[in-house]
Amino acid sequence: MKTASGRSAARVLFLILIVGLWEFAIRAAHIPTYVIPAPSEVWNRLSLGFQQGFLLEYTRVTAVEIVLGYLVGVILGFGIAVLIVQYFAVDFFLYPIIISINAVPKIAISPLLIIWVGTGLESKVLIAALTAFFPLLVSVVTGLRLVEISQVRLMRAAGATKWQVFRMVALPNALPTIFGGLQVAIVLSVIGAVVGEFVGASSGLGYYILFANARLDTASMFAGFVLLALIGTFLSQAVVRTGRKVVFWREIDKMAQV
Amino acid sequence: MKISTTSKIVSLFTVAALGLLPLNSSSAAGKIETVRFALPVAVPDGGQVWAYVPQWADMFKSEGVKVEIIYNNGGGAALTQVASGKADFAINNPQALINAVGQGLPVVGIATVIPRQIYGVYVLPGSPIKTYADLKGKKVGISAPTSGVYPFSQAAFAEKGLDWKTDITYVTTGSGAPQLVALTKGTIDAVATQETSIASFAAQGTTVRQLPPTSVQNDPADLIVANKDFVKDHRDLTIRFARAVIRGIVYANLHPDKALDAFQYEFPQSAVGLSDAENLSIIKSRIDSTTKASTQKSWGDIPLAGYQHVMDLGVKFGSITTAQDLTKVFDTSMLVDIQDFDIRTPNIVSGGGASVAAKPLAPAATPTKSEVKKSGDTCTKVGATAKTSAGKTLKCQKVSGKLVLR
Amino acid sequence: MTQNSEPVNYVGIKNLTVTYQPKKGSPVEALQDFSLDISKGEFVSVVGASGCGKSTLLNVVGGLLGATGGEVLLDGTPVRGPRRDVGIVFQSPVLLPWLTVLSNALLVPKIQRLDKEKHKARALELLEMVGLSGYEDKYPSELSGGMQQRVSVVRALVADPALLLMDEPFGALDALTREQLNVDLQNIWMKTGKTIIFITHSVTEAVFLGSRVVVMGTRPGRLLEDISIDLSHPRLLSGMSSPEFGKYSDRVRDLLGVGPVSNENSAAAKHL
Repeated sequence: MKTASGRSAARVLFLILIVGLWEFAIRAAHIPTYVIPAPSEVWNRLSLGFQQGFLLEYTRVTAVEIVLGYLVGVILGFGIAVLIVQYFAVDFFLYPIIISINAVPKIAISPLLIIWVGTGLESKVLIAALTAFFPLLVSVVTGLRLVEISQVRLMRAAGATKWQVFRMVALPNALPTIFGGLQVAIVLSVIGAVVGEFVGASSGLGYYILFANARLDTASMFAGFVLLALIGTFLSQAVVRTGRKVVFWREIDKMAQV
Repeated sequence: MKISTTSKIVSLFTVAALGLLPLNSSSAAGKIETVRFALPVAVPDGGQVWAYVPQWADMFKSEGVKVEIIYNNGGGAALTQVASGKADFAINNPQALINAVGQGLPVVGIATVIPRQIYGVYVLPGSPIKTYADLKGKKVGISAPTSGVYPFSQAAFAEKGLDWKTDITYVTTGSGAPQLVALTKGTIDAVATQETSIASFAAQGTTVRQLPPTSVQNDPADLIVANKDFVKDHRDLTIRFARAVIRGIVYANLHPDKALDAFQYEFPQSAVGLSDAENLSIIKSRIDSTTKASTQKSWGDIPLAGYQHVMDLGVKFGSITTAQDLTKVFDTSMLVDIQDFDIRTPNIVSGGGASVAAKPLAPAATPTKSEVKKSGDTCTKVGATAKTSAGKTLKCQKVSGKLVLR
Repeated sequence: MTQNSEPVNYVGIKNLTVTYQPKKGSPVEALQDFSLDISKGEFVSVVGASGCGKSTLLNVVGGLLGATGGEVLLDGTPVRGPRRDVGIVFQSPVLLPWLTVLSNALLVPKIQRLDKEKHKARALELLEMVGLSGYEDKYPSELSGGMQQRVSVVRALVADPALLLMDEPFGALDALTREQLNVDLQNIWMKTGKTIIFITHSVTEAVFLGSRVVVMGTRPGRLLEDISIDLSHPRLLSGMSSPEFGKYSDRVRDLLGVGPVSNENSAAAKHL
């Protein structure tokens, strides 16, 4: 597969093959739809749902929760990470507390969060933010601590302040690691938003999935999974592509190796 | 599996946490039209006829009340909302209510919406289990130990001479498809679950046989729960709200097909995936549970003797911490006013009553909320047209066996 | 001996001692009682075997390392930390890969918040001097090793420091590039008149570039001899084969104990 479009075509064909096999298997084995639905049933749910309009709305709601939660978690994680790296007191006192709190699964504390914050948009954003926050925090701290000694020495020889070293050398060096964390965080934001919806919601894909589950409408649940996967993939790709643009010097390296 | 300690700890913790939270300001005296109604389910499953029917049929509206429905993951959460003032009303089971009152929470039951048990014990048609005695040594599936099915089954088994601790094994299956699969695959020998689940199993092609109901079946169940202070400050509003709920229940009993319309209107995704008949069977199973019982003189009555029995059993099996004075748990004083409507035409507001805006609703064949429709709304005649709010013309067509506007 | 017009010692190193404690074993004397005076505008090559303390010497003069004993004076003031009037070129160019060549060159003015326009003009001028005009907007990974090192020389010179310290700057490059850069460096020195301390392993490089060659011994690091190179400027590469050049190189190699320099002097290895 030499060309990009050739590769995409191969992937699409493979997908079609899988879906076809799945459809065949369900029909041949007469598996009840509430155990595993056939792709045709899932498609039926998707098309009707979008025709009627509610599925678009649910997708929009969950996507908003994910993106907002992600932004909040990332900004918070980044800010605290910088403080941890620059100030020993923060590292010594605050970081261990954060690690302990994070060890508690979000699923366990989300009912409490809902009690405190309610079942509106804020609770989902909060849970998504909390889930995304930690991997981002760790990746920023790790990245910033990857010291490129020669560069730091260069900066010191030029008389740079601690913050100049941070801004001009530590931060750019940390970017590849940080983008790794950003990628993990976006996927976790999806999980967080859905977990939040599971605990109490009146809209969104998590709500849609639970609603279907109560009625054994597994095909609709799968439709919800498909949409969530699409959202997650789209956002993840967005982060990866942004990462490539920002950490551009790695790309030039690849070209220069010719 | 002792759940009372767990629920005790959880309740104490939440009460402690709530003690730090400011009460919502909407308990201030004055003219308030919006109330918050907390339901004990994270996501509606069609069983909440006491909410979506009065909502859709404008019964709340006709009583001058605007209702914001809040979904909660479980009854505990819903009750907590009311106790803390984050919600004004909830639907909840009597065991949780009695426990809450025992902890000093300001909650009270004001009307009964389910005057019988919704649960039962079921087996597959070909199962060798015919009586409760056959359950000895077998596995019984329940959705979760926090569900009301748990105290129900403990009492039912005890009545039939089974010790729930030693004679049977409870298996937590979750609800929905996992529970059905557990039954059909034989992971469990019997399932104890609610009527709506049974109806949804049938909709998926699996019918089950019910073990003959015990006398526990007649014990009353869920009620409308209110915040005590809210009732004190807004007694009239409380009455109007509860009356709308009871009217909705009566209406659903009289016209189950309208209840279906209400459900599909409030939850458009329900029309996709299950046919109308299947949806109706699920809703009707719940409606039947709300029908006025022989222990009730009028709709919504609170059968105190029945609740006494519930409390005795609960204390015996541990789902209720300590017995309470039932006059403190229930407030029957508002029932007369709540029941002040014509049960033959519950969707028409009676001329009497306090400051109720008398707004007769036309008992039309298909009550419309407004003349403006949107794509996906149900219609009755193929080829009929309607307009959207943007002025676009929609035509009634058959889509996947349903009549919808497109 | 060529003397500069100003007789005042620009760099005064007095009895410099640097001792450090390694993880295992006894303290090591990297530099022992090292003294050296350098006048303004001189090109001083420092040559010695590994471990002779030449890098330590450079780090102390540059203010990156503290002395255990003795002191270093620059233009009369003692060195206490990195200074504005000192530029350093390391063996590895250490260009920041996310900045363009020009931005890399302008690193010091950016950090010290100096006049942007003035230094930008200077940077472009210097880039031209090293033969890199047209490369301002390229990124370091698009340049060869030799070109990157040239940029780092420009970077060291942009803020117009009076003293330039160079720590084996061409050591990682191939011999041909190295020779070319030697010529270019001489060029820059002659045009700018900077005082340069140039550390190297290469005897020929030291003699070619330096107006003086300071030979250092190892363990402990100390001054062996300070040789004045009396060859006229500009020096050509072809001059490396002249007998005068050879005599200076021989002397240095002799001091360092490198190879039999001549049959009579192999005993000079005793110096080390």
